Amino acid sequence: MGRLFWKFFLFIWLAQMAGIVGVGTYFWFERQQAEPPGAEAPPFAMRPGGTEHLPPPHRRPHHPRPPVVPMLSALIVSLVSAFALAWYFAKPIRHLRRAFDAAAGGDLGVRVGASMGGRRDELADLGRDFDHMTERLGHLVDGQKRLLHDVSHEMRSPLARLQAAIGLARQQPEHLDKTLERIEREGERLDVLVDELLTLSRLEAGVAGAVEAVDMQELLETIVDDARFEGAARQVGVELLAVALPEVRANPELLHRAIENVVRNALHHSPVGGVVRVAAEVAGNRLRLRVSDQGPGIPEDALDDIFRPFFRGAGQSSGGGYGLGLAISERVIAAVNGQIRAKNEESGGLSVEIELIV
Amino acid sequence: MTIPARILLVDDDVELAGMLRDYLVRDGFEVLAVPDGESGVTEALSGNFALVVLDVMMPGIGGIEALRRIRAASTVPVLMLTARGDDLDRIVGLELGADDYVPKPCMPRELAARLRAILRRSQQGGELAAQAPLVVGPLKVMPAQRRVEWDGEAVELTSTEFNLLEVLVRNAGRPVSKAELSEQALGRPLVRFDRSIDVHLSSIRHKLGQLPDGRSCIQTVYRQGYQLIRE
Repeated sequence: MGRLFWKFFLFIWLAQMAGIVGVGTYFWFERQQAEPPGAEAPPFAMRPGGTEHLPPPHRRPHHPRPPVVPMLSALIVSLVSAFALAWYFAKPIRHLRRAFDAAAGGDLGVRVGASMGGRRDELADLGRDFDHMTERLGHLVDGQKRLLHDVSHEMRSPLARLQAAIGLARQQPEHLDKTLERIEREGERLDVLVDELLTLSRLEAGVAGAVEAVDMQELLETIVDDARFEGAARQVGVELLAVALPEVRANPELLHRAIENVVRNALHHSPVGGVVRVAAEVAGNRLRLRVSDQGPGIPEDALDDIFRPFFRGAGQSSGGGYGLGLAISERVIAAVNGQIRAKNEESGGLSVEIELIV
Repeated sequence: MTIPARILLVDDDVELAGMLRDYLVRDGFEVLAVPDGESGVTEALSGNFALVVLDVMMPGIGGIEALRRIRAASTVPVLMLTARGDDLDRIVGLELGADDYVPKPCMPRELAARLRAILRRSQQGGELAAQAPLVVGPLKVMPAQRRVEWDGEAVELTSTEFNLLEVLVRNAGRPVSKAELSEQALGRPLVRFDRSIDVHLSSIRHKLGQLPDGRSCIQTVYRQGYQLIRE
């Protein structure tokens, strides 16, 4: 029983008592005035040896006894009902407090909905809001934890290779050039990883850079040119199907990176001799961009996961990238109120659709 | 060195596996590297290898599952490469019968030293072939064949478990400290907060039967280590 309970209890009880006393007094006066004076006579008359020389000044003491039984029962009833009411109000608040304590202690799995029973009032709403809050927070914290775990794991691979290379350099000084090259390469990989992580964390913190008008035609042509150059080594072609595209408001650097990541991902998963198609069209105030490849596609239930940091398709080794590219793309597109979706083509291969507001 | 020991290296990081192979080959081992758990299990069960190095984090069937499958059919020594700081993988690995673990990333020198320690232990059988069986109560340990019997029934122990039990049997009736067990059976000094010995011993207790009075024959001696009860 907390302080709040006793406050509720005291106030409710006092209010009830005041009401009972007020109403009781009122009726008492009513009755007194309604009674004829003669009605008071019998007590005096019955008194042995009583005379009439005790006049009105002494009337009050001879008034009928105060209604003790009704007053006592009113007192008990009001006590009980005040107790019940106070308990009814204070109980959910006590539950909530306990839940807040648990949440503050780090347990975000705590829920109060069940302890609210069948209540349908503001307190129950508060409990539901609390549940909703802890659930959201739990998801966010889980996400951060997973990210941290993934980051440390991802750092581990290049570090393990670095250590192996250093061991080799010590053991085989005659191949020092080769091992130093390896060490350099691992260093660069770590640099890329840290750079991508920083970009991702900035985007998640809502820092999306300065927004300006971006010429989409020019942007796509640059990206496709670069991709063609990169794909040539594996005889993967890149086709661009877009003419006279309008401008889009976004941060040019980030938007470039977002689309480039999608195109490079398609390139990476294309078979030798395959073709990556980049097609864009305008419909109303939307610009729809589609990047499709002829790779193996992705299992239907993993389609949303590819935008999660560090997601890697099955059977994909740690050779190509860190799985951060598409996660960055998704957050960049979301920052300019666009949408990005992935779906498997019926002919096989994955297609990623980006919708931007013109 | 007479014949180089054949090592099977199972790691999905092809580049890393290549470098480790280069290092170990130069160090006098013969190494086959395979990039995934499934082919790792097949190769490990082929009986061509003296030791298997298994990475825990692999796509497809991971190291833990691969270890489970290997242990279902073989007692070949297994060294796990676990993520640094991930205690759960380590404990689960040891419980499933891994002989030892090395946190990754690690220096190749350390890996080679651990490989040698495990190989030395598992090959001791050959050098000590003349030794007679050791019998304590219902427990019979045959160092020559590296076999263990409980009440006349054969017990399947991994190489490390056998080494630990052998040390306890040789010192039956007196407590053996964990540091001593680590030095003699694992071939390396005891590291602080290392639970390997406890995990291995709990696994041995599990595999051996109980004494007539319901106790396990291996008792924990508070702050001193472990002791094999001599009746």
